[in-house]
Amino acid sequence: MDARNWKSTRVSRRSALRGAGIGLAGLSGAALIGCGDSDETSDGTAAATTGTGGAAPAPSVTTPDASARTRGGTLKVALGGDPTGLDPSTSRGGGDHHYLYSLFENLVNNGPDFSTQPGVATEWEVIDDLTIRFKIKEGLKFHDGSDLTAEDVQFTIDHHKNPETQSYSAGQVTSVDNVEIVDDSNVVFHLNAVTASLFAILGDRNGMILPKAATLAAGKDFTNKPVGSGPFKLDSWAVDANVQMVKNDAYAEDYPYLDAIDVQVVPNTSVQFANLRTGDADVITVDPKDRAAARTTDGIQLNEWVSTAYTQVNINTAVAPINDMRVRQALTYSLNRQAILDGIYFSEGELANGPMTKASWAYNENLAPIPEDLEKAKQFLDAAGYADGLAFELVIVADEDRTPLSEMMKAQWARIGVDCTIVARSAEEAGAEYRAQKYPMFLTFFSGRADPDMTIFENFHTKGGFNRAQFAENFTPSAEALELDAKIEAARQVYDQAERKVLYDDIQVQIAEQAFGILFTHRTNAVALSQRVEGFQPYGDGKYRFHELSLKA
Amino acid sequence: MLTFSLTNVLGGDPLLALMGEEDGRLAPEAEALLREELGLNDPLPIQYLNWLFDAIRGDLGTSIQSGQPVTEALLDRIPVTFQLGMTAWIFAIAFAIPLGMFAAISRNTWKDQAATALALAGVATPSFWMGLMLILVFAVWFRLLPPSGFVNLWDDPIDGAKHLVLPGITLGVNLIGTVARQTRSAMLEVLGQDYIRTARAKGLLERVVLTKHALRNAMLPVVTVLGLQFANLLGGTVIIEQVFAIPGVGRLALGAVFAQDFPVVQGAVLLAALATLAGNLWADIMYTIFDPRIRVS
Repeated sequence: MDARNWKSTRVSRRSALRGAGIGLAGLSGAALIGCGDSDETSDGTAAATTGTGGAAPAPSVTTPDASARTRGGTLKVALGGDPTGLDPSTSRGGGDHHYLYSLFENLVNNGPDFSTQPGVATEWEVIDDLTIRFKIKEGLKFHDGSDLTAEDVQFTIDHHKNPETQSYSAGQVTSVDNVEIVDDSNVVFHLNAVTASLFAILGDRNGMILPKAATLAAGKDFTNKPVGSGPFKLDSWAVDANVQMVKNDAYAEDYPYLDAIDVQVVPNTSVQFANLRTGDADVITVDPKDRAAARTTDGIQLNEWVSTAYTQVNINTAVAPINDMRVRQALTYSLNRQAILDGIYFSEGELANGPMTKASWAYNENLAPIPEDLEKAKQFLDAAGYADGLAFELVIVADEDRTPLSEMMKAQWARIGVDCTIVARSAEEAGAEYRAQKYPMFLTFFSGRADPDMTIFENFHTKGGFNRAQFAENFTPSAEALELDAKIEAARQVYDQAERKVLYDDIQVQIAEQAFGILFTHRTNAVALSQRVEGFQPYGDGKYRFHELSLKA
Repeated sequence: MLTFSLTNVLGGDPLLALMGEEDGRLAPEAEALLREELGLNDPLPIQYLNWLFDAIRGDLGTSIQSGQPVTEALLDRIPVTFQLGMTAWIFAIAFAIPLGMFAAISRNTWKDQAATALALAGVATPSFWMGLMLILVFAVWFRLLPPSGFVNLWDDPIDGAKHLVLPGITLGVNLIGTVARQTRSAMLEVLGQDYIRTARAKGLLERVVLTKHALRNAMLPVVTVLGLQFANLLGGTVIIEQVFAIPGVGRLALGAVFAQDFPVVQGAVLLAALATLAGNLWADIMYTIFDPRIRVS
């Protein structure tokens, strides 16, 4: 018998899966699949308009009016994963929204630029800072035929607040004291604190109206068999394989346009692209690494737009040397952000000037990204007393983006005599140690939020969820930090968007000048559609609204 | 027990994997409730014993990620991976045995070397790359077959078969090399035996000599290899299922490892162990068929 040990070749090949060899081979295959065969460039960028809200961005796909839209057909989508669950309260994945927005209806909707649009509530009235009345559309029904009334709206909020539900977004509605039922079509939200971001929050998970009876009856199974009032119903869900949604005939007379939405789970991004090219998929998301290839592929529509996500180093202003503003400023001025954008993100995205991206109405268009200025950086460092050099640790969770990014930062900072040691930890260790004040900085990502308050408070207020300085013993915020706190609190007290914008512009100026955050880039989203798809609008939160689409005959 | 201790030693908090870093956190009371529910507060030995006693009764626990019972999740996916594995197996056997025979018969000629080189190429090709290449050529360029996905053979035999061709070939290609070389060696050994010379001396047709006498006896080691390779085939499905978007056991296991979903990982390892045992048992049974000297008493 042949004594050759065939087993060993197997194991080494499998372990080489993560090795460079396979990676290269795979990339070549992937590149070939992504390559186009024509020199016509596909459509380019759609930037969401900024301003005081209300105006929808000019979509890159011309949206014909309703009468011209073709009805019928099944939209085929290829996504990298299936939902973590379809219960708005207990599911927790960012990709769940692609389904949730079609299955459920929100009390109010976040428009493409996060301006508030009607939803289940056709009108609302801010009676006073802590009291808001919503009027509910009549005749709405859930998928099981039951009526949608004020009781269901009240139930939805209570359900999120109930600790037994274990809702991941319970924290968003802590300021809602209770929801009062005035009559079947009217509710009043009683708040215990001014919450300017309430409308944005209601446009997300907390505002997806749940049917009281069906939710209580289903219990934990609701996440597998959701009942909403949205334009589509769940037809079937084969875990990790596909999700089928069908048109809710009872929704409206002439909406939605599609008969069904068929989402296949295709983990490999190159194979997703193959599906798009063969016509087996109408919609796919495009990774930054594939975008250059996508732009030169014929026969598809490519949409790119800025998202709310940005990259930053989270800083702990209680830990030396970051507690010194001049050190922070030195570190900020010594960065070459363009190199980071090009090197790490394949030049996909924009340089960050502040935490609000162009996807939000609170974007400060008058703020320029901090330029690279090594002289200035050295001056700041000298003034802080570190003319002879400075050393500290940066904690990261190692992955294919953050490892090279941290090394780039380290190299850039070395130019002004800063010695940054990169410490890699698992997500939980990094979080725990950082909270225990072990490091001055933590390289992490922030996906962005619908409302500027949610982003700015959490990251920059001394009591914000991501601001670990507050956990330091005897932490005394600096005068500048307190000043920033006051501004952030003031911006929360105002409901009028135009007024808030002025306040957030000012806040972002201070954040930039006093380096309360070290920001790098604003991220972009990209989706590739087949030629048949009509009606696509890029939303600032990067989530898809499949129910808005139609297929040309 | 080894798997249990290893996965726990490697660390990682499944709840944190569940919740991600900065997006969405459970309120502390709710998190405490969830930990209690999932039994993550019990000491390790207790967790293991709980699992063992449940497993014997067919209850492999519940997935931390999805809440689905592990047994159910595995049972859903076993038929899928089975269809994929069988396709690869049949494809491999259909090519490898003739290839090996051909190499043995034309021993030491250029034909032999060409056949052996072909077999080795199959072993050496990285399946990830091969899968993508096949998709590019047969699905994207020539539109002959679907690029990815899965359809059960009993739901739609033709569509199902179409979806199995490319992943089956990719998975089987690595196997061909091993089996072909095994066949070649075994054939060579057998062809040198006395009874073969006798058969030829008797005037039997060469074709009969080769198939009825030589191949039959050469099958023993080949069959053993096939059975033992079954477990390795299962390992290969992890990559193939990811590339071709096939919802099988391999993909379930891969996802579970990344999410530190202990119950699912243990269930998958248990399944792999059972499959290996089954492969060995199969080889033993085949032995009794092919070798009349060995019979189950």
